[in-house]
Amino acid sequence: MTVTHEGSADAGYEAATDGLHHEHHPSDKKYWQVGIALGVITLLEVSTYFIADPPYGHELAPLLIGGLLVMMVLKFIIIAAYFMHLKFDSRLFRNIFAGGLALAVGVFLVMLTIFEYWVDAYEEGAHDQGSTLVDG
Amino acid sequence: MTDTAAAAAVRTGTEVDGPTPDHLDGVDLEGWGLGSNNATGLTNNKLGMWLFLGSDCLLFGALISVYLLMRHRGTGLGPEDLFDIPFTSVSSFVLLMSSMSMVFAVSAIARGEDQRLRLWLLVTALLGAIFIAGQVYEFTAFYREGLGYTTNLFSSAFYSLTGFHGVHVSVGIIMLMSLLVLSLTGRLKQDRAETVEIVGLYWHFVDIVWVLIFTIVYLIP
Repeated sequence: MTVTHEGSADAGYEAATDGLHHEHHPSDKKYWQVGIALGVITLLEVSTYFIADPPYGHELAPLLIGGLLVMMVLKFIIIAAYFMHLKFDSRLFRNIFAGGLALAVGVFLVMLTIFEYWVDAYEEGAHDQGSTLVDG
Repeated sequence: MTDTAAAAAVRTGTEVDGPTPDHLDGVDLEGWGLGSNNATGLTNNKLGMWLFLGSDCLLFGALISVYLLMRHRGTGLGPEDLFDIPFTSVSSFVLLMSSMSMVFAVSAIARGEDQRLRLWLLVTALLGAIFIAGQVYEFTAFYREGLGYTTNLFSSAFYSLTGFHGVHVSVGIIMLMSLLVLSLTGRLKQDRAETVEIVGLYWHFVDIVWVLIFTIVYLIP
């Protein structure tokens, strides 16, 4: 076997294995805290259903829908950062995942725009329509 | 070559022919991806899983987009007529808790606690199975209400999106049970902690996709 090292043996070993071990992962206590936070956010999300179902047409509609989207993004980030360890692992993993996500969001926002989704969504909100819109 | 000579060669950065130096003994280099492609300093298995998850974003992005376009384009039954939000909320909470138990499984194997690893793997798989059972119940209820896969554009988009997610959860349960069998047969020890972590990544991804589906499909109908 041929092994080449730069510098001291210990430094070389640490460099070779840096990022491979997971000493920076959160403790179980931290996981419990994150889990409780996610549970509370989920409760808040579900509580909007009891305020207005569906939220369209309600006077608080922009606030409710905006709040739901913010809470959704918050849960997404918390799970990715703590449970999937993106906050602690190599930046390359974060970039790969964020790249895929950004590509998906970008491509499908364009698709929704091409199919005039935003116009339809506006019209649905304006007319407070139900589930039987037939407009091709 | 003596240990002293090997250490001296290592310190000066020269090539060493012969056995691996003592400080690398016991380190599973191939298991960590070293020796095949370590240019990134990361393991190939974990890198592969992240690449898969990044590409899977496109699959679910497509399904969610199609659902958004189709949900109100059709006659007959629609989301407001069918969704049982309290029931789906419980299902969502169950899947969220399965992510909790999964991180405890990863922590357990990192500490070499085999019994705890098996317990948390089993709990995660059971919570995933409860979620799937809820989905089967929901699909059955919708079907009895008259919403088949081809009833209208909404039904096709809805069943495709949630069905694909359900398939992902089912595959995750199979992975978890495989890990459990490996552990029970003594083939999953602390030195393979990364295997559990990689399955965990998949499981958490399935969870965050449901976070999106729950809000976009159910809470903002």
